[in-house]
Amino acid sequence: MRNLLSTLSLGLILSFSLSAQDKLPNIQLKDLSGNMIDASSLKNDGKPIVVSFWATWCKPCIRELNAINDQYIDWQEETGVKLVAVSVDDSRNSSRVKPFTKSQGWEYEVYLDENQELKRALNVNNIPHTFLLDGEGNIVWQHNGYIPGDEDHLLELIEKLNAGLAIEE
Amino acid sequence: MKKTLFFALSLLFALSACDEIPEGEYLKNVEVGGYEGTGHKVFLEEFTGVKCNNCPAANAKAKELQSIYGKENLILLGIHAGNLATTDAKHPKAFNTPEGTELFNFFQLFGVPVGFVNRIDHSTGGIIKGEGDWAGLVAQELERLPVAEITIQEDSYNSSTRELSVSGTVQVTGTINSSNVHLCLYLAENGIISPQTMGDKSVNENYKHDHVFRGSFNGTYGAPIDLSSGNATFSESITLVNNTANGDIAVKENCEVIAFIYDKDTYEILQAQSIEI
Amino acid sequence: MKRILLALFLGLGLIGQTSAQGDGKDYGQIHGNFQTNAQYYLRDTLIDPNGNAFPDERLLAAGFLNLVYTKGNFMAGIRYENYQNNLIGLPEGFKGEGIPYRFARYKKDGLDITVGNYYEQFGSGLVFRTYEERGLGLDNAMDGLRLIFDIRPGLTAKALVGRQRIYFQTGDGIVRGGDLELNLNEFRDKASSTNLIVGASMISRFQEAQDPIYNLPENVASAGLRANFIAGDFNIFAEYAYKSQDPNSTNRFIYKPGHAIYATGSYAKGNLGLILGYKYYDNFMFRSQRVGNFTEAMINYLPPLAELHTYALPALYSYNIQSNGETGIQAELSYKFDRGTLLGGKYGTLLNLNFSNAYALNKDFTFRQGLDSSQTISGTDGYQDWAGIGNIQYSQDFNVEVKTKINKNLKGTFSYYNFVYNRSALLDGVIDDLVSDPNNLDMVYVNAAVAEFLWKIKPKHSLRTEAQIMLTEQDRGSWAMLLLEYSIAPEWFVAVQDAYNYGHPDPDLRVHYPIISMGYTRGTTKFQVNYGRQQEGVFCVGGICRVVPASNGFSMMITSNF
Repeated sequence: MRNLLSTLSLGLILSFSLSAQDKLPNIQLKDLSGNMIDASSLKNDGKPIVVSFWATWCKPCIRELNAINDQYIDWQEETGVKLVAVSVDDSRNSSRVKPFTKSQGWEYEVYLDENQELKRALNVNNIPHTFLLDGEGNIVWQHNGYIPGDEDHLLELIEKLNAGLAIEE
Repeated sequence: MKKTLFFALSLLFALSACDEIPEGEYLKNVEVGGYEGTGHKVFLEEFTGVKCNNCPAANAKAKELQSIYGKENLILLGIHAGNLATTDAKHPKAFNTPEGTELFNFFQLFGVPVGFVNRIDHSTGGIIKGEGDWAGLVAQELERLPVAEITIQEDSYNSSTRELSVSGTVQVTGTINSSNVHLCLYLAENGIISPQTMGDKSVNENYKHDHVFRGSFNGTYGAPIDLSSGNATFSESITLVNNTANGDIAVKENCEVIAFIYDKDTYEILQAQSIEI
Repeated sequence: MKRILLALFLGLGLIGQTSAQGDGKDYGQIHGNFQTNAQYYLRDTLIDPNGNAFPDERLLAAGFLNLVYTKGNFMAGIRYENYQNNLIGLPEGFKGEGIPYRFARYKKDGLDITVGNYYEQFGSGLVFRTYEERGLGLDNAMDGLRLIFDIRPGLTAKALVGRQRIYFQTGDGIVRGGDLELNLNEFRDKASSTNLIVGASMISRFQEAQDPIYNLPENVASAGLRANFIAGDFNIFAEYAYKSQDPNSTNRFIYKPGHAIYATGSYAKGNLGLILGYKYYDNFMFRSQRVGNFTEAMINYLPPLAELHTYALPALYSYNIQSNGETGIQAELSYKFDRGTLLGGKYGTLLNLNFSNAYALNKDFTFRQGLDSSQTISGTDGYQDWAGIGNIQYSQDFNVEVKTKINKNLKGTFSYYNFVYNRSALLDGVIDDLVSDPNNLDMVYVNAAVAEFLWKIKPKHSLRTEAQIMLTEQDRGSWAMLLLEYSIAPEWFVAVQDAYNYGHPDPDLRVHYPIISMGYTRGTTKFQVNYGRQQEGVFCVGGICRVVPASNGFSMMITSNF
């Protein structure tokens, strides 16, 4: 038991020293037309990408995506950012995702992670969970949960990223 | 290469897919009453409750097994415990006992109906068995050879104090690999007519409760018994339930005494015996 | 075995580290997450007079740590779990500590190999789905081998073999299966907006049989066919699955085969979304062993086709799938009224209508005389094939939600719920083959409404309020609830809530359930503490019920990932 714990804590220390150059793993996602795409192939012409994990039943997720959607046109114009909304709805709700996003008026790229493979590979505990990727696809920041106003902070980080500044948090 | 591998695998699946039992052969030819055991008895403790709607079906299953193997091979005990074994307006009697509650908590039960078959698999965390498991486990346990033989006899009954005294012997007939054997004496009562919630949630006012756990002669976990000499004797007594408040009064003639020895380290029951008094 | 994997894992980590600052080569990454829940229980004689739900331990705690190593196409991971002991209401089988989950995965030349534990789903899950739902205490991970072949673009085959996790052990049954999916778009010009995706899957279980009464099939199989047709704004999905004879403890050892149909059709264009769904599940609960309680060893997943409610009061009457068969429909309409229109107001308004229901099947039971001369369906076909819709209603749910922005800083969500809820079946686990008179069932009729406001007071400061009311004359009676949550982005929130069961038929149980909670978030680490009294809920699966008792105390949750 003690061995195990020390192994684990060692693992923890190691990982901190390694987490600089992360990209999305090559896990398959489904688009809303049923085609499979590889998460590692998500691109935005050298501009930042926000990857947000959500579900149709997750109220804070929807609050967050609606809050961003209110300002999304401005964000895109000012920073060129793209938001990718990854739904972790299982087959109970996955058929609702497309009509749901339409009726919310979201203009995001939406993908399904039906059995939560990408969510697990990225070690997401709970949703909402947001990742910020730089122009090269490196994960530079992530955040768990949503508090109203978080979107303003996210925009600051995107602007910082576009200005070529490092994100230290 | 990949294709070949894939088709080889799919062929394997197709071959191993499913067995089809023809209609009319679902049941084995079971001879009722003719079962001859090895002498190793199986003790099935069934946790139940008067408000538990799934319990009558589980109880029927236990009785079905008993009718196959006979009372001399399969001993049943219905332990009323947990929050479905409490009284309310529709269920004036709940038959819960301090010992039953202690067992329920000690073995960390989380619901009824469930049971223990000779209390096996406690060390691996799998002691709690659903009713669907009972048949297979009882059959498996019955095949074991006996390691001891227990006899019980009624010594006296005082109808004014309601005190029942019994005595008996334990004779080692095989190899017992434990130095921590305990003997336990439980009292059960048959034929109690009292309301029980049934499968459709209706309450059957005239439900017949059999082998209801009424308490222990010598504590929930019994007492150590020294079998180093190959045999031992015991003598214990109990006061029969007499709850005048709700009319729950045990009838001595319907009672049954169950004695069993078990390995205190694993809780596994080594041998059991019962007599009607 | 565990130890070897761990050593391997650690080795990889070390290689990673030594080189990270070194020659700049990619030696992979390690990531992980951590979660712990702990609760300190206080004795509360009002909600728990006998102390049944008061644990001897007083303090219960559970924790998890996931570690995943990735390097290019290689991935490996472990999960350490610790239950000292599991929180009240969650399965007590999760006890002690260990590494029940570890895997290694490699992708090359269109072949994807996983060894160890894995989660997988075929189609909608009718035939096969293993997944993890920590909140329910559900983890049906497979332990074995999985191969995924990309035979060519648009044609994928999966094959797997293994056994399923049950707490810290694996189940008795060996599971093998495969799936083939064909995406026609990949076979032609991609520009088309019309597409057809078809799939076929199959799963089989082997478990030795030694029952003295029943002749049990040792091999049980289930197979399904599915198609997803997409044409512009229309999307139609349908799956049918068949299961061979599978007498088990959940279906009470009946021998009829199982059938399942799950179909949805949706239309989404502009501001309009429309969904229709149909389900027919007959004797289709499939476990990787004959005997299992709750969600133990479930191989497949039956989509409930009912909306999942998240506001606290409506969620007290959540729908549970009925393992012995059910059928129902769902219809949902959502529409966004544009800004500037009459109903849209200045900022636009979202409207959502949802209806769903579920009924038992119309079973014509076959009985036989049991050996103790009682009537039983065990050891017969059980009932007829294709029974159709029966007269026992399980549930009906109609709800309306309106979301609107009142002014620049104030958003409102208003919802109304109307439920018909069969408490006997859904909470008490009454199985329909035991129902002699449907009038004996406890039906609950519920009307509920929720108003939620989100007020942005000033930059980073916001106040969220929920007012909920739920009216019913049955069961525990009516409830009202108020919640206030004040947040300071991006780090803090504090919330107070009080649910009041003012309409309980027993005046002594007209109890307040107040809870105060506070949370702190920093990056990906979240810390939350709650103090208060939690109302009772009931959790039932497969004929046995577990009461999640009311509790009182402090609880704490930490989640973190890196």
